[in-house]
Amino acid sequence: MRRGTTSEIVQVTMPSGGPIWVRVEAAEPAATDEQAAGPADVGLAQQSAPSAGVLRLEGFADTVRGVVTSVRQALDEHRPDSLSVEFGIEIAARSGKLLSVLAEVGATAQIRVTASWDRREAATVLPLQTNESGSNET
Amino acid sequence: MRPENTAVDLLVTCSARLDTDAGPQGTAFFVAPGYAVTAAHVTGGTAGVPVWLSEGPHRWHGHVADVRPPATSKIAGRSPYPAPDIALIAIDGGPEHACALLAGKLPELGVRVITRGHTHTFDQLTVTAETESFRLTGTLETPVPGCTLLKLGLGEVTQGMSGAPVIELRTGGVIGMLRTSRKLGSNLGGWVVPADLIRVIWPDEVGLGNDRFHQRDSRWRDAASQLSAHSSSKESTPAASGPSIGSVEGDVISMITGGNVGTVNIEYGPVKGRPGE
Repeated sequence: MRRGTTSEIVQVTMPSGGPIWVRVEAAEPAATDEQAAGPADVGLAQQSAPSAGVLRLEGFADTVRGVVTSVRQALDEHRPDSLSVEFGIEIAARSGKLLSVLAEVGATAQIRVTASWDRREAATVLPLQTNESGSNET
Repeated sequence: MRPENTAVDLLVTCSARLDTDAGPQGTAFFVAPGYAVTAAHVTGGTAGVPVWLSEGPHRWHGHVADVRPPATSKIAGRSPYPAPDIALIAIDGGPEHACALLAGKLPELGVRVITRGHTHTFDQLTVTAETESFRLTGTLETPVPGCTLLKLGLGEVTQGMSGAPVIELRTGGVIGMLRTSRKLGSNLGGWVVPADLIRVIWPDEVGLGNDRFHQRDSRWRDAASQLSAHSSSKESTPAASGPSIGSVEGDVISMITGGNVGTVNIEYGPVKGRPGE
């Protein structure tokens, strides 16, 4: 990490295996080189990590899956026909590892949920107009 | 010759830069004919990995024969690596080499030591040899029973020094292998895996191998004796000797290598096999 900054650009391997470049914020107070905390092994390979090395983004899929599953379960009994979930994911470096966490605004993580019903059940009772492709229109 | 120079020359005869397929990784040093040691994290903690050692014009190739402890998914990427963090390298080919004289007992606190490793310090690109002196400041118990590390202070441990031998100036014995900086960018020194622990871990390859080498080749012991004698004389006549450190009589490095001072000239035949083969 550059001296006096709290973020850095690192290469990250996504769970799918593809590499991306991301800017990550330090989850701990930024440390200068001289303030780097604690003991550190001194092989030459250790020198390149984490700044120049390729890091794995741990927990990304779990974070996404966890949010989506939670929202679906919350609305399960209402059985929406479509469901849109918007949320932010922050990538944070902590103890040399990259973590994906739900982005926070202030002290609260924001999730925007849009659910819609196309009144299909009503359509089964009422005669429907169909277009040429055969899809239902409401 | 100053004792510091003699000690560094001894380190030159036994230490080497270590490379894997991924490029330069750190330092290793020879402990017995056909065997060297380095830190486990330098090799990635995996047995069987091919390695290349080099020092000046000399090249050796070998493989990681054993690692303590081996890397697991829990360990991978951890720093500091779990204790003791040491790997045994079997040399498969290359010229014959000198072996470090492993110290038989724990050194006293406060003794001066020197290490020599292969680092990126100069320009962050080129790997060059770098020496640094320290004082032995204490010990550090680890969660592993029987594994207590030595602590160095009053010197900077830099990246690339992992696996480097640490020699005691007073006795000429190698007290252990450097593995970790206590704090990068500081002069807080580092941690050392003690020589007696390395002997215990591999009693045949390292313990017996080291003893046998120095029984039949007395040159390192001779150089060490001169360091001890110099140290004793200095302690007995502090007022008369004044601030000067003095000099070691004789051409110690020539005794070790059979060559000239300042050059590593280990001209033995190629290694034909491992000890015992």
